[in-house]
Amino acid sequence: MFFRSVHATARPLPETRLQDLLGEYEKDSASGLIQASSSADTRVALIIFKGRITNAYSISTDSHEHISAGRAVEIISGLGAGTLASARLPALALRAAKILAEQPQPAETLKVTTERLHILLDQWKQLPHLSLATLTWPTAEGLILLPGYGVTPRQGLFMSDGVHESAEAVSRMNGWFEGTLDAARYTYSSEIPAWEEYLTHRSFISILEAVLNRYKELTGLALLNALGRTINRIANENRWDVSVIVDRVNDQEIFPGIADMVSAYRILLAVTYNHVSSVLGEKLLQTVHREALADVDALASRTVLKYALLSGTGFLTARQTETDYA
Amino acid sequence: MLNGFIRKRPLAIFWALGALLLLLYSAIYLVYPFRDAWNDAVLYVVYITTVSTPALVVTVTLQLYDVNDLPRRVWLNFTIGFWGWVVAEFIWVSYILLVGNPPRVNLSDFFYLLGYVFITMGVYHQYLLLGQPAARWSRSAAILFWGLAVLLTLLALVFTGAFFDPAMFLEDLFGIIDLMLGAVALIMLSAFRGGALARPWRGFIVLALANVFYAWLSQTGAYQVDTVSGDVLRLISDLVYMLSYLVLASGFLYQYLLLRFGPRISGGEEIHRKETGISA
Repeated sequence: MFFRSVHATARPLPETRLQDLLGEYEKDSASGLIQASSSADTRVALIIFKGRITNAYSISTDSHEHISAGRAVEIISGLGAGTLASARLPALALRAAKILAEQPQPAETLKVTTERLHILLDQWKQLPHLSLATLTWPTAEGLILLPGYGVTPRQGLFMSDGVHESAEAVSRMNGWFEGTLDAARYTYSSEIPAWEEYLTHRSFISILEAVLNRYKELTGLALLNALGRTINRIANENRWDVSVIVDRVNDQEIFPGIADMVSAYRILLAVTYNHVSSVLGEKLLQTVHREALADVDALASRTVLKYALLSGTGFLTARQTETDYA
Repeated sequence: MLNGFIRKRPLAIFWALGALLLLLYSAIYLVYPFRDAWNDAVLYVVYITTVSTPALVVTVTLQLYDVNDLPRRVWLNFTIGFWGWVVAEFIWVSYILLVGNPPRVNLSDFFYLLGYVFITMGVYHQYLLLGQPAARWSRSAAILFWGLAVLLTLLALVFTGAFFDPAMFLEDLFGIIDLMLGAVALIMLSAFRGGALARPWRGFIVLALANVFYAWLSQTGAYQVDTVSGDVLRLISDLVYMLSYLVLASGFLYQYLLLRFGPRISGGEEIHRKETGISA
């Protein structure tokens, strides 16, 4: 079970009814994770976003199976003795949960003292690939997404009595009172859809923020805010939890899969590029585009190409494919 | 649709008022409805009003930029530059109304020069914003701009035998800088090709052409300072000059409307509508 620390309120099956729990999520339009475990080692995890099941997994010790929401409900309802645990969680935890569900085996596990945790994280930070670190204390849990190549991680979570994000999360982890923890590292793999989703999400934010930042430099806040309002309006009309505040992108949406994600990102990037083009002109937009791609890392720019995130913007000609993504 | 309406209406009103000013100027110049001094005074009020429009619009546009916005530097320099020109025009007109023919070199030249310095500073900051590689050579280009302008002016004076004439020097210098600003504006138009930010730069090209026409009339002695003669060539030159200021002001007004209401979007929203069925 992932995120044990926030699952302190695990309730026994079959007395606890899954439908009641799902009803509460729906009523509150809440997001989180429901996990059901039986004594016969059957485990089902449900990712819930804004009251609706977006992903469901049947998990065993060394494998996982992506199942439909209906099938998951059926399995849980048929379980005999066991527990049903639920935790309301932010988007980052749900992205991590999807990765953990689809990649049951970590690349590395070890036991460390809390005091030496920062040394371990520094070592993992230097690795030449993207990875997810899970840190488990007896009563708390931490998650850090490490970009690799020495880049300081920006996304982290610490869950104990509550959920703490980003910079606050890391400082809480380093100062946690429990002396030892289990650390595990999961390495990025293009074979795992959840990793691809995370990378696409990160690439979308990187490229959009790079374009917004340059656009702000060239035109000022008034036009940047006009663009932000357009992006926010379109995201809002589609009920995507994506918003732009000045030149920062906040993407909290959990998509059911890569196809929905890519479709949404393509629309938002097309709207952005067309707006920028109408103000700066096609020629300067080309420069802004090249600068934006230079700002994002190689893995992110490859993802932009792989999923044709810019296909609505007229920026995926064969020539650009060769030069920009080489 | 509403966005387009908001943008077009102020521009249409602006051009209606601009056309009225030009017609008024022509009528007063040709019909001469007032007594001598009064006719000139009214004529120059219309003239000063017209050439003040870029300074007025640029000042309003500047207010829409945040203090930390990098493009604010461009518009701040333009604001100072264009007000410098307004002061220069005002001094020049005051000389005509109070003294008759203004001295060949007078205080207005200082303000013209000041205006040119600040406007080229604005252009320089715009180049810096365009980023690499433009930023690398923009400082050298700004120095080269002024160096070349002075050199060309001196060469022109040497060839015309008026090397030690400060009045001729300034007149030629302003003409050459106008032409060079026109050339820079062409580069800006190319950089912003197809974008809304290209609009304000068109006016500089028209201004350069208007100044070439004025310089030609002035050099050939065809430009009559005296308005009583009703000289049509002078009227045409004045109208072209005033029109160039109106084109500049309309470009700045477009920039104001762009900042105030945002651009008109076409392609991106169309993609959004097609893929989602939601009308943006």
